[in-house]
Amino acid sequence: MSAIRTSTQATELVSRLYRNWADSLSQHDLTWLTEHLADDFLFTSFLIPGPAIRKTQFLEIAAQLADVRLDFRGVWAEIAGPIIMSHADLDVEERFLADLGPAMPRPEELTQMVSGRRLIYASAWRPQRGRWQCFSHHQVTYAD
Amino acid sequence: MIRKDDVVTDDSALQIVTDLYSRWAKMLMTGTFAEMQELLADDFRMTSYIVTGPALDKQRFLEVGQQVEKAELTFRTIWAKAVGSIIVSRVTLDVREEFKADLGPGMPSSAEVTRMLSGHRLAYASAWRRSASGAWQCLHHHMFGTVD
Repeated sequence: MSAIRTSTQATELVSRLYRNWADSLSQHDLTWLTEHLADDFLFTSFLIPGPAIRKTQFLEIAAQLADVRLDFRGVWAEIAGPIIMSHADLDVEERFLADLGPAMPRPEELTQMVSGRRLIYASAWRPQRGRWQCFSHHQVTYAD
Repeated sequence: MIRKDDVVTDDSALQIVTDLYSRWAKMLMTGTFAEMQELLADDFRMTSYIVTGPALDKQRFLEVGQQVEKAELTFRTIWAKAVGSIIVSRVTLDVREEFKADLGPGMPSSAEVTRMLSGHRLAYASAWRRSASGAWQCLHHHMFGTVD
């Protein structure tokens, strides 16, 4: 794992991480995602006002996605002490197949909320187990 | 039709957000947090990586902010980018804060929050959009946690 010292290096690294994340979802192979989410990972969202979603539930939700296509318009990252903070601006196409449990919107509602929309995410990453792992992933807002 | 004033460059985004964060910090440091009302969108939400639980809406966030007894905030870095019609930003700052009372149900005690945050460098991501009157307001504020 090479040292990251500049925003340019951080942006190149996180662009690759987001790309792999997107491939993991679109190819229905969550191995990469499982390895690159920290054990104490939390997902928060402006769309889901309830408690944050932990790693296990996030992966369960990811397993219920179909027809995923994520096109990145921009990625911007910077070092902050021991972590990297990043933003991603992307066009999202995805379909939720199954009910995601209590306190979550129904699958068709979620699909309608995000699919065909331009969304912004903010994430934080830390080095752990020889790789950069995402520990906080936040769905910020629509950009369209 | 896009008005000239609606076009935000990255330079002007940074200037806008630096001014907004400075006003925010001043309100906390001078005990005038009620004025924060005008800086927050009505559908504002705050989420946090380290204080888990439901997001705080505008009213709860204002209530929590008014429990700050003393605050000393020193900005270390600010980054901002115009994306579509909004501005996204990140900030790191050194925080010293004391709370005068507990922050209510679902929140850690004031002593716990002080221990978690005070004396640390914290990192946040925020999003801003224009209100109907044209003023920039924060619609989302997310605390990543400590970065020292």
